[in-house]
Amino acid sequence: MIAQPGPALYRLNLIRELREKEIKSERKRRLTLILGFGCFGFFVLSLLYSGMTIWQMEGVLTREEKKVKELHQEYQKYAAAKLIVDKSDLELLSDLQGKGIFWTKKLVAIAKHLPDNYSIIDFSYENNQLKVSGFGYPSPRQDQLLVLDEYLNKLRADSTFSDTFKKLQLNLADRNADRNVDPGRINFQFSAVTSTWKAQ
Amino acid sequence: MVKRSIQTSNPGVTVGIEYDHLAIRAALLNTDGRGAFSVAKVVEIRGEYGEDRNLLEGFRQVKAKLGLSGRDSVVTCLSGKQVFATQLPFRRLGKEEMEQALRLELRKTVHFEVATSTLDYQILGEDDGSNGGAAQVLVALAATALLNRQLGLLEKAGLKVMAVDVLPVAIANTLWAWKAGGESHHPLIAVHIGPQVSTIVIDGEYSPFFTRNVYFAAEDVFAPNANPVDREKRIQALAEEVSRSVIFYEKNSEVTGFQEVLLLGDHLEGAALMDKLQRQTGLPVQAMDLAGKTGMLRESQPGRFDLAVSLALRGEA
Repeated sequence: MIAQPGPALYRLNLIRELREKEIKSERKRRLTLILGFGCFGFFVLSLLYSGMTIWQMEGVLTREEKKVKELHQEYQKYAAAKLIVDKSDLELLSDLQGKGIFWTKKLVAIAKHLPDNYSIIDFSYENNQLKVSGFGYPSPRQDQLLVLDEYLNKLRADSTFSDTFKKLQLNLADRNADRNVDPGRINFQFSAVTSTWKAQ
Repeated sequence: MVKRSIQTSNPGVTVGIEYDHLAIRAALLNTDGRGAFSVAKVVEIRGEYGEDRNLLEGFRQVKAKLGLSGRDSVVTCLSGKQVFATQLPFRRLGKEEMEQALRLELRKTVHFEVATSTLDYQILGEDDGSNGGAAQVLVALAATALLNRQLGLLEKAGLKVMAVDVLPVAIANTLWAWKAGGESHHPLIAVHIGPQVSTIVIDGEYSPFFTRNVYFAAEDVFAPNANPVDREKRIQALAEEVSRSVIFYEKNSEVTGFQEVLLLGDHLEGAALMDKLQRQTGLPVQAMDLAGKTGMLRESQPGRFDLAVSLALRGEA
């Protein structure tokens, strides 16, 4: 086969418009076909996505229904045993957990920091106020006020005591009024209040 | 001014088909899409093709012999009295306006109904200024009924027609194909010998396209039982017509220096026609052979398949 470059020739064509129209029409048809397939594909994908979402939602619903059923069964079991916990019980429990005072720790703190030769003889707790009374024997230096002040400072610094009782004050520190009975004894009283305490 | 566009055929197979009422000729070309081509096969089927039925059968035979499918591009041309082609200077207009204006212009010269004809044009390049900057336009016109008839028959035969040319422009393309597309400073002359009418085409790179039909019944003149004296007279008459056309062209376009007279078509076997033409025009005369030129020597028959080959060469654009 011998090949050679093609010459440049006149390119008149009496059916040019006809063929151009056909080519345009073919292009349009192809475009329509592609768009049609594209839209159909998108529609199918949307259907699949919707189906999958519905399937997932149904799964969630089934699980939740199962949970509700289990809870209902549990409730029925409790109802049968008459072990119904009502609102007041829950409030009481919360009160006990949140507002209760662990007295052991407080009493340990009061005893731990108590100076030598001093004793606690009475304590009471009323209206969020703790009153502690006691007596002691001062040293020859007569520094009982300093000793009591230091004692209260130690209590203030002790977190096991001060977590509940934020304020402490010395109410009384005087010698025994009856000079015939134990004339060297010093009586004292201090009070501690919680944060919710209100003066009456 | 380069009058013709560069060939850019799509790769594949292109078929050129032309016919008259005695034969259908077709050429199958392989093109690589980058400008290279080769003639793969040529076919001639002789018969009586005056009737559509026979013509349809002939086209079917061509399709079978060339082994064509419905996807192979076919290029054909229209010929006859209802076909016209000319080159004229014309101002550039928009596509729609241009066609309307050309139709109005052609009504002055065309002898058949322009309104019911199909038109195509090609702007060849800007004018040299002598016509007020108008462009040179090559126009082809053919009766729509003739076009539809040929198109219908070819499509009915299962052939996919991609381009329809007119005979004079197809002959001009044959000239340029023969010159391998190279520029020619002098006009070229081609004479297509048909069974009833011969077509003279003169075209040059720097001179206008010209065409003229001459009544020359080649089928009668070259018939075996034709009167030799009558034959001589008719060939002489054709040679004189060709000579007159050349003189007319020289005067009108003020161009001279014709290179040669190239013959194509049927009935080119005898030496009488070439002798007379050479004597009358004073130019060397030879028969074209595009198939032979491209190396297809086995089926080479000078002049016979040149039109079909050039139709295939021009492609579907």
